Amino acid sequence: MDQSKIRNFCIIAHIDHGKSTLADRILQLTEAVDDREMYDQVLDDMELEQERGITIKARAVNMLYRADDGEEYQLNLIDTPGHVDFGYEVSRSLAACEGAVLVVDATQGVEAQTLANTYMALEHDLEIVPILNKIDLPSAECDRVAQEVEDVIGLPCMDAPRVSAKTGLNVKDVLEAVVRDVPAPAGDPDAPLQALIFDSIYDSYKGVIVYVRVVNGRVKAGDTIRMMETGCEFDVVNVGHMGALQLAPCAELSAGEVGYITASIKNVRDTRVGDTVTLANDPCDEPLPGYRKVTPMVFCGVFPADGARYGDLRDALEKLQLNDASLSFEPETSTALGFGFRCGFLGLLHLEIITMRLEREFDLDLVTTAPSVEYHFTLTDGGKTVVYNPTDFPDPAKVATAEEPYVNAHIYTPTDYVGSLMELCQDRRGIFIDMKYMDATRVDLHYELPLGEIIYDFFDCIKSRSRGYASYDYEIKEYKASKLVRLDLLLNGESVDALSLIVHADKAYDRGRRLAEKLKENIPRQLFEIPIQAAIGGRVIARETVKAMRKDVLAKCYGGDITRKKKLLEKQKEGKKKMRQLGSVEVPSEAFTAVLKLDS
Amino acid sequence: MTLGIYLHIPFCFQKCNYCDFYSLGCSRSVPQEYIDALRREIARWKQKESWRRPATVYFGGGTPSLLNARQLEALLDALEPLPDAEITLEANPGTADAAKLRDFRTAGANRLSVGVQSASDASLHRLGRIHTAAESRTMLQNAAAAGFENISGDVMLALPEYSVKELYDTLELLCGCGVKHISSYLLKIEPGTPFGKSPPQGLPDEDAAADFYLACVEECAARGFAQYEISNFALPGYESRHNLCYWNCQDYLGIGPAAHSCIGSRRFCYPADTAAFIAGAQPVPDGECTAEDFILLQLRLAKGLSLAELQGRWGVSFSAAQQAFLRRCEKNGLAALDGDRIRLTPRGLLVQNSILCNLV
Repeated sequence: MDQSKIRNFCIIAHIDHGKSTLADRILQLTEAVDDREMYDQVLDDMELEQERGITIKARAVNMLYRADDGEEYQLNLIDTPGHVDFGYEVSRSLAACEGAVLVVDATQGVEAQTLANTYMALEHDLEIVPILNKIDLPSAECDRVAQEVEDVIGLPCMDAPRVSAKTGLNVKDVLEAVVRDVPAPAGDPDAPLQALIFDSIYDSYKGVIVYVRVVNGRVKAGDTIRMMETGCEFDVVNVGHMGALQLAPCAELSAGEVGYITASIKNVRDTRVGDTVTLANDPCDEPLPGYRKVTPMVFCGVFPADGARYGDLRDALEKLQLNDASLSFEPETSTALGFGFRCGFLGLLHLEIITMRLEREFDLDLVTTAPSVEYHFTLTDGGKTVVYNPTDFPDPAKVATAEEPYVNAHIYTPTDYVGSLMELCQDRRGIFIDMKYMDATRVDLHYELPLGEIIYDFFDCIKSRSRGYASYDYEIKEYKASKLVRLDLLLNGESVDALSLIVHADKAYDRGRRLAEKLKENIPRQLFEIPIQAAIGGRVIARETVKAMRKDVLAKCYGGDITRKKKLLEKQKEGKKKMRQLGSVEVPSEAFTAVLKLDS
Repeated sequence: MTLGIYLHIPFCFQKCNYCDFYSLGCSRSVPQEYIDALRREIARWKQKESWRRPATVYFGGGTPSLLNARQLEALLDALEPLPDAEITLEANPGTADAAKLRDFRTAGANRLSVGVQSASDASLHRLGRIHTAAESRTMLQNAAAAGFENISGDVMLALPEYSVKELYDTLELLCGCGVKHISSYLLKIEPGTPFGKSPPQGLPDEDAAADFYLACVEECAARGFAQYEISNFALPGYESRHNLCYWNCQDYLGIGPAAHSCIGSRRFCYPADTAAFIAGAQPVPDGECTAEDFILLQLRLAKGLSLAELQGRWGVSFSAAQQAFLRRCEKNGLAALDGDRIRLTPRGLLVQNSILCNLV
């Protein structure tokens, strides 16, 4: 393939600005998907992606496009997720491209992730092609938003394509801009092979399918490839391009191209995303610069509701991990919940997506515990320890210093909601950094916030306090000294390990009180009264009581119809089985996740 | 072992808003073809080896007082109850006058169970009953005048907008008319009923309902009515022999659509379909009477469950965990353990289902 006719680009946007819809239109325009096969959000083929209208995994697709200059171009489009949790997916995709189409909603303007993604693209030296979308809507303000892009981001935008991905209006202009503005890839096809792995998926027939961007050299079936970081070697079975709906094998991939490699690879862990592929018999000298390793930020315990399905849960997690290297897990044992796993996630949405996939795709009933972040402790004997499970909280008498992770958070909001959002950030122990006006009506509110304070419901709170208008983005900043305590919950006098939390000392009282209240709401009345206590160390800081049940009887056993009564009892016993038996207390699974929903 | 007979009369003048028992509304009388079908089934059962003359007969419904005296007589003739048999007829105020009650008595009924429910006309109206409290009083007085010495009154507790005063007024109405037996039920909203489809306003909550029940137990005791079952209270010697045969796992035969039977530990029931019953539909099996049944039925009774009888009759005893659970119940005032017997206290009877979940 003639390198000058290749364009590798991705689409970046704030969530809901129409990125996946634009991708759909582009696929149709280039006939990568014919109208018969077309459905909405082709690239979001995961059931959850379709349902929630979000992109979780990056996708790559290869298209041929005859431009107005009469030449045929090979376009490689890499779709990227929009949600803040999945920023790492964006960063990987960017490294495989020379350009990025920046989609801005003409009815909304610049949002938090518009900026965050743009900055990330600029870091990767990408050419940015701004476009305004949703111009079919009556509320579109193209000139104002174009001006905002110029002012806030500093990109010329007045001549940018103005399109409606929904109706298809002017989508061709986007492709013309890509062909005109995005540089063709550079790279020497005759140099030793250097290909960057930007994703890999597991296919039960072909084994691992590795998505690569060939930077230098070429690769074809029969070559022996080496993964430079892991050192693993494999014989290439097939190379090709990614069609929108299926893989299209080709003779070879050469410098500048985006494509896939299959090589009977059994384990996704052998093909680390960010690693460099080279040839075993003609290796390159240096690996390409890789990515920051993805580190889980949020941890929680995941247990099967039915203890007998522990093995199924482990298998399911292993399978999900094959396609999602950002998911980590290790075995965990809880007195309350039995055997399960402590899992690490990128954020709360990621946690939610994974648990939903486990429940749907693997038919598991799960109990998840409150999410935690990773805390660092220095002990009085000079030792250091890392804790991401409240049960591992060190003896307070031996803790010299404690640290918790902080993030740099930017909240973009209409000025009307600034007061309410600042109050929220203050309440979450935020440190105010500054506030910048983006234009007369919108500001960028900059805070440093403890990660532990934003993993529960921060996003929802921002949305509700701004009637949906504010957006936010964050990046991990650093660890800062903190006063941490472990908050324990006791039912009937016994501590329930799965309900313990690590919290800031100043918030422990309030959190304990609300947790106890929440538990009271979530534990049904039982034969005997249940005291609920929140405690730090041995000191009880809050107490609630679930009163004993008073009435649960079928008073009329009519005309000797005993069967009906027996059926009712059977049903009641079934319901009982679904509860967690903690000592003499029955706790519904929902109670363990109720702590997630402590609204402020 | 004695045999009890239950005859189901699935006809009502009007369906009540809370009722999910099988019956057909809009009936002013009981069709003769239904009586013929009952007699056909009685004749069939009498040919079986398990047949013996019943010690109790219970006409339940529906509204058995929609029968006429001739029909009642014809059915009793067919049944040939023992000379001292208890023969109960359920009667709803507004469906039988003094003369009809005299005829029922003459035809052989010797116990009347009257659906009084409440002394509040507002409550009766809400429930969809067709009578007033005054009509209940008249029926009780007429029944006594007709020679019914053994009269029971039904009471519903925890009705919408219920008060202790309504409870006391209702008990006073019954006792003032000389009833010997009181059945007292907590209102339960059943799906499929008018109340189930649109629940009435002002229903007491769980705690209030429980308090009404306990107040009822207390007031009945004060008036000399001893509680002998979850919902039943009697002056000494006036316990319902028929209903006791359900709770003591004795044989009973129920005839009519949706009527349940247990003979020789085998349970069966007729399909809930009057037309099919008239056309000759036969009962279908409905499981076995097991130790579980015995436990749940005996624990309805004030005398409670005998561990020796449970072991002797069913070969079953409670596990160590279950015994510990029972001791915890006792400690919390839900049960009384007295050597061989376990009985539930009124507070325990109120949560019988949850207790049973731990025992069966």
